[in-house]
Amino acid sequence: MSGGRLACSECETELPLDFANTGEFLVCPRCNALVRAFAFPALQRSETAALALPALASGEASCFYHPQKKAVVACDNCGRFLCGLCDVEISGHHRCPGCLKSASPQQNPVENRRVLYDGLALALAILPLLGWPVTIFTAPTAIFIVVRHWHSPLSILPRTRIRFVLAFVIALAEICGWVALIYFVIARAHR
Amino acid sequence: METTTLYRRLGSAHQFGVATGGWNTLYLAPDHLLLRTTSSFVESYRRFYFSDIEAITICKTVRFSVWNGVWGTALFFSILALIFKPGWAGTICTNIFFALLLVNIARGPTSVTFLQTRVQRRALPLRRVKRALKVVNLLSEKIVAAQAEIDFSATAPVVRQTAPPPLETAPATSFPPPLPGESAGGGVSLLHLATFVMLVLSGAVALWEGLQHRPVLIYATVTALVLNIGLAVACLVQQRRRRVVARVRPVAWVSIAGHALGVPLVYMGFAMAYMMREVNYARATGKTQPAQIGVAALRAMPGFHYVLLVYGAFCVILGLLGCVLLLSRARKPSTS
Repeated sequence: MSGGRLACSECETELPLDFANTGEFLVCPRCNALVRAFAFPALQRSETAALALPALASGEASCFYHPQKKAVVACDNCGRFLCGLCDVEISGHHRCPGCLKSASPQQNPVENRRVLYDGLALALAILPLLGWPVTIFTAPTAIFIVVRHWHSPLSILPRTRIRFVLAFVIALAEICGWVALIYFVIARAHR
Repeated sequence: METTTLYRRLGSAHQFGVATGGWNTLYLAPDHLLLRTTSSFVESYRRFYFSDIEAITICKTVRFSVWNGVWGTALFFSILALIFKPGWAGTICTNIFFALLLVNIARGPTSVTFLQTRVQRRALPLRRVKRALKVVNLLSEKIVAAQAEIDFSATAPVVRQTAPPPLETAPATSFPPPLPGESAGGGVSLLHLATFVMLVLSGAVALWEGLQHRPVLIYATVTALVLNIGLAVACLVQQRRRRVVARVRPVAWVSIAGHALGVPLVYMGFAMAYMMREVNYARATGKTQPAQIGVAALRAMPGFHYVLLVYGAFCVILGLLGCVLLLSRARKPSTS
């Protein structure tokens, strides 16, 4: 836990708070590195502030997860009452831990991992061309990935499906090439 | 339909490592920073909400001096080699090392930047002091504004009384939102203007060479072609990082695509024709000629002047189109 203290980027030595917001690079007392620190009000936050929750008084709604604690907000998804500790606020929406855990990738606002199927399909279509006989296996695989994952969510950052299209076209061309080659070989054998 | 938070790219850098390696990119969202790590075909994300950020530290590193030393030494030896044995290879190497040294100096001192929250301390992909300070200045206002509404001295749990502003949804394009004080339509990029002017000039030279054969002009055309490719690449890099007039962006793409596809195809076509001609000549006479086609031999190939005329027309039209789009769009705000 690094809360409440300022550390040097180079040696991780704790720096005095007057190192921060000076507007210039200062020398770290331990490693002599030039460090410039920007501290924000959250650095002064008390360690125990988040744990000290108001107790429930009679006639007040209680938290779903902590029955002895006063509810301060309702989950925007399931409507359960939540105390300050259980409330997870993301992009203006209040969620309870249960909803966050069970959310689908499309609905989960804190999704932290995605597979780039479009890049995978394109790589499968293009890279095996270096050792072209392998394309007899990789081209159908690339087409399968394109069809299977066309509707899968891509990156959370804006990204078009052009890689899918390119992968499909290239893989299709490779399959056509194989069909033509096989036809040519069979026709020649029958001659 | 999936709604996407509007992200603006702040910087990127590669991080080496077996488990943690990958290409790191930092994005700015309305209420948080997003650190994306791309490793092969998997993207992982870390979000740092403005209300959680406690500190950012920037520490200068010696990488700047090391790279200056490396490129400076390489430049010194390539100049020595050029003095004692002049040649094309030496000239190209000297120019490359000089350009790399200049780029390193222009980008400024290097640094490592760390972001600190209550529970983690994470390196940000900001490797230059200039860039890191710019980003921190941009973030400071947002972080202070986000933390202003929280009373940290209180022992009670923190619950926001005012709802944060609703998130905007991503527009049709993936273009980042404008900087504070920057016009939404984007500004005139001098680099783009220089690229389009260079396209017009190189097109004119190519047309001239196509109509009248002059030995100097073919070398001028080749030099202009290399410059066009370099400038187009620089334009693409800039329009990815900065706001540029939207209608001009495809022109830079067409320029780089035209050069990237056209030059190798034309060169390969003529090189093959030349090789076949030389093989036939060698069979007939028993004498061998150089298999590689040079610039002078390329100029002497039948039909090459048509290629020059087409290339010249392409460059002139594209350059003029780019200039018109860039300047007409730029004048609009001042007239309204």
